[in-house]
Order: sequence, then C-alpha cells, then structure tokens
Amino acid sequence: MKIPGIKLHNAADLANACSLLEKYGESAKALAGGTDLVVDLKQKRAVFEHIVVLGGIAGLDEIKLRKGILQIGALTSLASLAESRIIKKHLPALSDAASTMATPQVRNMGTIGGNVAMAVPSADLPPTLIAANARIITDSPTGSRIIPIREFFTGPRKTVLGAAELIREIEIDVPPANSGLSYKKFQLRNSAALAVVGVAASLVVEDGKISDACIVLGAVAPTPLIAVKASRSLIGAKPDFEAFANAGKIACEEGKPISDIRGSKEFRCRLIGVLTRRALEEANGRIRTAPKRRKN
Amino acid sequence: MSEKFLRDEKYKNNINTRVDHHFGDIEKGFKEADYTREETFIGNHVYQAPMEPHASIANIEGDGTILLYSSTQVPHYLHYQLARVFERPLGTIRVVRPHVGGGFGGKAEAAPTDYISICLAMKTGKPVMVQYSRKDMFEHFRGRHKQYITYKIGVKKDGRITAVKSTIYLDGGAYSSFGVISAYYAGSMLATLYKIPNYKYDGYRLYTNKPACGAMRGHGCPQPRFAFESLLTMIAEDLGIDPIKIREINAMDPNTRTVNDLDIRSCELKATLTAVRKKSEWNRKYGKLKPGHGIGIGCGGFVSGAGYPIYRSKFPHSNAIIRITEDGHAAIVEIAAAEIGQGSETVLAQMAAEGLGIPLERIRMKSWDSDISPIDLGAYSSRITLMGGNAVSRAGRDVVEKILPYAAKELEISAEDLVAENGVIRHKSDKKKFMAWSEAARMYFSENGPLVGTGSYSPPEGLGGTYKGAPVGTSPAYSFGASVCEVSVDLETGKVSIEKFTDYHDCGTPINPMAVHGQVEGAIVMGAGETIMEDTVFDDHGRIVNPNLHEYLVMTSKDVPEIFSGLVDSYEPEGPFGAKEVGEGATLPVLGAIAHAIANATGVWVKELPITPEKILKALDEKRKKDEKTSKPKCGCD
Ligand SMILES: Cc1cc2nc3c(=O)[nH]c(=O)nc-3n(C[C@H](O)[C@H](O)[C@H](O)COP(=O)(O)OP(=O)(O)OC[C@H]3O[C@@H](n4cnc5c(N)ncnc54)[C@H](O)[C@@H]3O)c2cc1C
Repeated sequence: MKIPGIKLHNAADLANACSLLEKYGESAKALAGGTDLVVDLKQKRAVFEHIVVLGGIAGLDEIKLRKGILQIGALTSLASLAESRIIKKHLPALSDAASTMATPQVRNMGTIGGNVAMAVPSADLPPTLIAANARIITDSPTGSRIIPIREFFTGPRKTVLGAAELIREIEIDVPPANSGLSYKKFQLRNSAALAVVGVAASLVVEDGKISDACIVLGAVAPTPLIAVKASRSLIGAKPDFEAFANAGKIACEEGKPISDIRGSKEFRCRLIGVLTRRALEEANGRIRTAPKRRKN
Repeated sequence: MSEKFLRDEKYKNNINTRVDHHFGDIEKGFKEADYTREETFIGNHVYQAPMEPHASIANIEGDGTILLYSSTQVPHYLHYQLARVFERPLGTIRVVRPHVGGGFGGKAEAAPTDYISICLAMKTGKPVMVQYSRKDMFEHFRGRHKQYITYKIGVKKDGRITAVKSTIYLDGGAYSSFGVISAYYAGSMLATLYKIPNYKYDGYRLYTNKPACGAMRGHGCPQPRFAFESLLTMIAEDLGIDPIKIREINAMDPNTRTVNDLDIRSCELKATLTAVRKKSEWNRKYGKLKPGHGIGIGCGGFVSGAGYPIYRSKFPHSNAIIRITEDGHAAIVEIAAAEIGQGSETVLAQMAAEGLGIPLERIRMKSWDSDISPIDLGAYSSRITLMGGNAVSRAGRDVVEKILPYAAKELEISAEDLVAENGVIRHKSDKKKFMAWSEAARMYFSENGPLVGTGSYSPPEGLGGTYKGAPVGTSPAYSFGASVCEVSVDLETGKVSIEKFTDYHDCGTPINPMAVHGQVEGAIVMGAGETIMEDTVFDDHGRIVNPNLHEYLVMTSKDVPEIFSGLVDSYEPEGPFGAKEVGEGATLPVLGAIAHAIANATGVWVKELPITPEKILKALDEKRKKDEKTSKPKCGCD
C-alpha cells in the first residue's frame, strides 16, 4: 500500500536533517526504521507531507565503547542491539530487552532512536536505559545538547525534543562490576507482542549490602516510571529474596496502570510485583565481582 | 430486550435458530446415573485470520460472460449464488479460483468483494478488483460463534455415560451466514465420539449487533467439544477414574448407529487412546508432575464431508474428468476441488494416478476454472479427500476400462486378467507379460478419438434420521483422534507454555502421511491459539477493538510446542483407498487437552476461553480463598 501525498527527503547528515525539519516545520517528520511512523501514516493516525529520511546518514548505526562509555548511534537497529557483543558483555539487559521486541523483520528495521523518540508507554528500551542512567545526545539548528534520559519523557508519545531536534546517540557509562541490571517483560505471546508490563532494575552492592538501586516500570504509566519508594527500600538491605519481594510489593503501589486489551489494572499491578522481584534477582545474579574494598 | 434492538419480527427475541433435540430419554438416563455433574462454559469469537485477504477480480467478457477470479474455498456455491443474485444462467458465469492463501471457513460463501467487483465491472466496462484490508476481513468475520454452553453428564460408578443434557446459546452476529447449520452441528456432532444412550440438546442461535459468525474449522463443534471433554475429565477425576480410561470405557465402536441416527463405519478411537497413552508416557506423568507442570487429554473427530449439500441439488458432490493426451503419456485431471493450501491437489493427483495405474508425475491437475472442470462442492466439511478422491479414482478406473481391451488384444490375454499399474498394463500374476500403458492409450485414441474417463461421487442415499435437522452431522465417514498435551504454567503470572503435543488420528488409510501430519500440526497450533490467546474483542457498541494481527493474537512460531503426530491403522470402506478426513477433526481434541493440562498444572479449571494468564490467576485466587475458608478450624463461636 502506497502512502499518498508524501515527499521524501534524503538527509545527507544530521545537520541537514535538522534544517529540513526546521524548513518544513509541522508538516515534516523524521523517519528512521519507519516501523512506527509508517504504520501511523498508513493508518492515518499521523499526517505529514515531508518525510526526512535518516537512513542514509553514515556513522549513526555504530555501537562503540570509549573510555568506559558506551556510545550507541541513534540509527542502531534493534537487531544489532540484541546481537552486539559489546552490549551483551557490558549491558546484557539492553540486548535482552531488544531481543524481546517485535519480530525479526521489525528488529532489522527499527532503531533505538526511534524507540526512544516515539515515547510509547510500553516501549521496551526506555526502562533499561533509565535504570542505566543513559544520556541522550541531540543535534538541532541551535546546537547540540545532552539530556539525561530521566528528563526526556513528558507524556505518552511526548518528549522534550524540539521540532527540529534529533537524537544523535545515546551514551551510557559502563556499569561497574559490583552492579547488575536486568529487564523483565511480560507479553501475551512469545514474539510480536507489546509489553503488558516491563520492569528494569539495577543494583549496586557494596560490602554485602545494596548501596544503590533503581527500579523502572514500563507500560504502567503515561511515561516510564521510576519506582522511587521501591528503589529506596532496598538501600542498605541485604540483596536477598525478602528484600526483592518487598520492593516488588512497594512497586505495585507505585505503578499507575490502566486497563486495556492486554490486561486489567489489577493484573498489571500484580505483574509489577512479580517482575520487579525477578528483575532484581537477575540483576543480583549479574554482579560479577566481590565488591572492592576502598584503600585509603 | 428492548423492542428497538429486535432485528426482525420473524425472529422473536432475536432467536434466529432454535434446535430442540431429544434422543432416548434423559430423565431415565439421569435416574440410572450414579453420579452427575453440570458445568457452564463460555467460548470466544475466534477469527480464521487467513494470511491472504479476500479478493475478487471481475470482468465482463466480450460475449457478456461474467468472469470472476475469487479467493474462495467454495467455487461452486459462489457460482450458484452469483447465478441467483444476478438472475442469469450459471453457464453465463465463469468462476476462476486462483491459489488461495488460506480459508479455514472464512471464505466458504460468496463475499461482498465478489458482488461488488462484478457490479462495478458491469458499470464501468473495465476489469475491477476489490480486496479486503485486514480490518475489513475482521469486520466481514464469519468466524466462530461465541457459545455459552451448559452440559450435564450422568455416569455409572465405572464411568459409563448414561445421559447428556446440553444447552447452548450461540452468539451469531447480525446475519445468518452458516449459522443455522452451526447451531445444529454444535449438537449433532457430540454424539459421534462416545456412546451416549440418552441425549438432549437445546440450541439457540441469537442475532446480536456484531459481525456475522459462520463456519470455521470444526464448524460449531470445537467449543462444545472443549466443554464436554473438560467436564468428562472433571467427572473422571471426581470418581478417581483415569481420564483416558473413562474415554476408553465410553469410546464409540465401529459400525454403530449413534443415538441421533448417524452411521459410524470405521472407528479406531480406542486405538488412538491406547497409542497416545503409551507415546506420551501418560502413566508415568499423569498425577506425578511438579506443581506448575501439567498433562491433559482430549478427544475429537469430525465428518469426512457433509452428507448433504447446502442447497437442494441432485448433482453428485464431486465430479471429475480425466483426459489422456494423444500420446498416452499425461493425464489431465479436471475437478473443481478448491486447493486452498491444504494440499488437495496433491492427494487428488495421487489418487487419480492410483486409479489410472500411471506414475504420479504424469498427472496434471486442472481444478481452478469452472469452464474446464466439473463441480466439486468445495473445501469445507473436510470433504475433498473422501469425495473428490472417490471421483478422481473412479474417473481413472473408467479410463482403464476403456484401454484394457486394447491391451488384451495386443497381449493376447483376457482383460479380466490384466491390471494397470505404474505405467504398464500387465498380467495379474505373470509380471513378464506387459505393455506400456501409453501404448494401449494411443491405440484407443487412434480408433475412437479422445480418451476421456469420468467419475463422480455422492454420499450414500438416505443418510441420517428423519427428524428436523437430521441431515446436519451426517457423513459417509467419521474421523477420530486423541491428543495429549503437556504444559507448564508460571503460577505467579499465569503464563502458559504449551510444551508438547502427542496426537494420534484415525484418518482411515492415509493417502499422504506427510500431508496428514501437516494438517495435525497446523490444527494443534491453531487450536492452541484459540484456547489460550485468540479473541475478537468488542466495545460496547459492537465495534471490534482489535481488528489487526498485532492485537488479535495468533500463535507465532515461538509459541509452538513440540508436536508428535501419529496414525493408527484404519480402513474406511466408504473412502477412496480406505481414506477419510484429518483437516478439521484434528482441531477438535486440542482445546480440551490444553484445558485439562492447565487444570492439571494449576489445580484450577478455567471454563471460559481463551484461558488467559489473567483468568488463571483469578481462578487460583478464588481457590486459595476457598481453601483458606475450608481449612479454618470450626469453633462455632462467631
Ligand atoms: C509489528 C511491530 C511490533 C513491535 N513491537 C515492539 C515491541 O515489542 N516493543 C517496542 O518497544 N516497540 C515495538 N514496536 C515499535 C517499533 O518497532 C519500535 O519502537 C522501533 O524501535 C521504532 O524505531 P524506528 O526506527 O522504526 O522508528 P520510526 O518509525 O522511524 O520513527 C518513530 C518516531 O521516532 C522519530 N525518530 C526516529 N529516529 C529519530 C531520531 N534519531 N531522533 C529523533 N526522533 C527520531 C520519528 O520521527 C518518529 O516520530 C513494534 C512495531 C511493530 C510494527
């Protein structure tokens, strides 16, 4: 099915893409993998006259590790994220999240930039990126900026991005060895299904006690939601079943799910508890070394 | 119900079909019972969701003939319907059925795409194509009726069934479609599997403000079968009888007339039960698995072709012409049997080859054009292998009859002592005396002109009883099958993983075992989807909430269990070379087997389809509450 009445503009580089977006204003939209945008255009949920194609821009689909920082280009495909050796080694939760998404075909086309920019409440990558404290690096005609991902999402399908602002890359500090991160998703079938609930959880353990924790809930609020109280409940606790189950219980109360075709509010609340505990357990299992003693 | 929602004065209370069947005497039957149990089950609106959308291309030819290409599974019924609607002779319409990308019952009647494309072609004088979007397909629907089913079963202490009472309300949507027949099937087919001496069925098909429901794989029967199998297992477990055993005790025997006057010929249900018990290692597993792991049994079966056509007609149900090329090499098999992905071309070619006595690779099928091939009623009611197979093998034998005299003369052997086999005609016992099949065929042609054989098939006359609705459920033959399912259930989230299926089917003598296993595997995947995830969801105004393949969940390859499909020895005298059906029958055991496996894993029965994680958790909660109540010490002080 062809989409009538659109003009495609192949952007030479990101600066060019931004200026095209600026030039055409509200009637323009950037297209990365197109797995969200094309569906919206076909279903007439979105109408744009000018489509700025990012796909031809070189160098934006790379995953690099530099000076302890993971740099993921905005055009990196979900399939690359799922398979990347660097990601699997340093942030396995992110490749886990990517591999639960959609179908092989969609994973080959869809990008990390598109998933984040689209800001769908059930999107699978944001919870993990938030728990990992990612930074979003953007370009726009007025310059570049670094946005902590915690400040990025403002509502369903809404972000702080300006109209002519595009994501260049996503940066994540490689988590220290005494930390672990996990993403757990509940879906109604094993492929091609959106999250009913997704939970990312990170843990830092020092001297046998949790020194930092971050639990992020997906698909249960207008934006990915940090379960602040549940996260806080873990600080100072021993990383064990009891603490994790307790955090799960608290997280249940923090979620604000709605009922829809994928599940009722009550069902989602329950899943939050179970998935939170399981994510924490897996995160704990991923802690590689015994915490180092600080030498003074 | 408020008057303004009444669809039609003709249908009081919007009841479009009322079935009132009583065979034997259920009152007496329940009196004889040592144990009875009654339960209510609710089905779901399952949609066929074939990959290919409905599509039609129409053109008005130079001579005024209507030419219609249609993605249909019933070219003849479509043809007949077009003739009626456009009020012109059938012979002035040509229907072409290209390869069809799946039907499952959703393309078993003339669709609006057919009529609209023809009307527009007439208006414009140009070829016109009309194709459904995915959403259109859901709105056209013709999927399963959602059935509200109450069964009461009475049994003796040893598990023998004494009576069954069935009350079913079928939510049929806004039009009849096949619904009248669905309402009858929902009752009649229950009686083929087990010996039921007393049986009452009250069926009500209701008009509602939803898209019309129709025929879908297993037509009307999978939901009642799910309910019945579940209740039979509950009863077995209540009485401490092994659930496979209770089925063996009640299993249908060959050459039996059922309580509702259906004639069963071949029947190897018991053999399928014995085989699944062994292959699945039932005895080692049933009752011995860890919590969260379960095993379950279900049985099913179906007609091998409906005994009567859907409109009054005396035409044989399947008709074939075989034309041999002048050189005697190839056989062109003409029969308008709809290949919709099920593989009917393959088995028909095999059976034609067998009838002719030439190798399969010399057969060419011509099944798609009403100008070329005589009618076959279509790909529905699991009928083509048995009926089409009889027609083509008879046409093949007709050809052989014609050429044998030429071989007899040439070989100087009497025609009775000759057989046609694998491209030669030879002496029955002396293999050294033979000639090429093609040579004999050429001799015939040289003397008489075209070498053509014909064959046709109609079910035996007078099938079924004389009561109202008796024709529905009649068939020349019935299939039987038993499935064992193994699942694991995440008791915290309710998520079900269907891990393994072991299935044995009685399809008579298989013409093509690979095709049989393909049907079984497909049926298991499809049946599993409708048991645990598929449902068309409606809002308060009857609009579909999920008319797309993202939110209407069918199983993906990642959800598919390990499947073993086995066959039992069986021979059906009414079938070609002993064959009967597999396509629809294989779906029927699936739902009950999964429901039982889930109950076995969790300790709770979910009686409403689909059995979703959410429903499982709810049932577990209810059980927990009940257990707590009953385990509280009674002190009588509060
Ligand atoms: C069948 C199917 C299944 C799916 N399953 C899942 C799933 O399980 N989980 C999930 O999370 N998602 C899922 N999705 C959604 C989608 O595939 C992902 O969100 C994907 O990552 C989107 O990336 P894209 O490159 O295709 O985005 P596009 O469609 O190209 O763009 C989406 C939006 O992001 C904007 N955008 C793209 N790149 C940038 C950039 N660099 N800077 C700023 N804005 C940008 C676009 O302008 C547009 O508004 C599914 C989609 C389909 C069709």
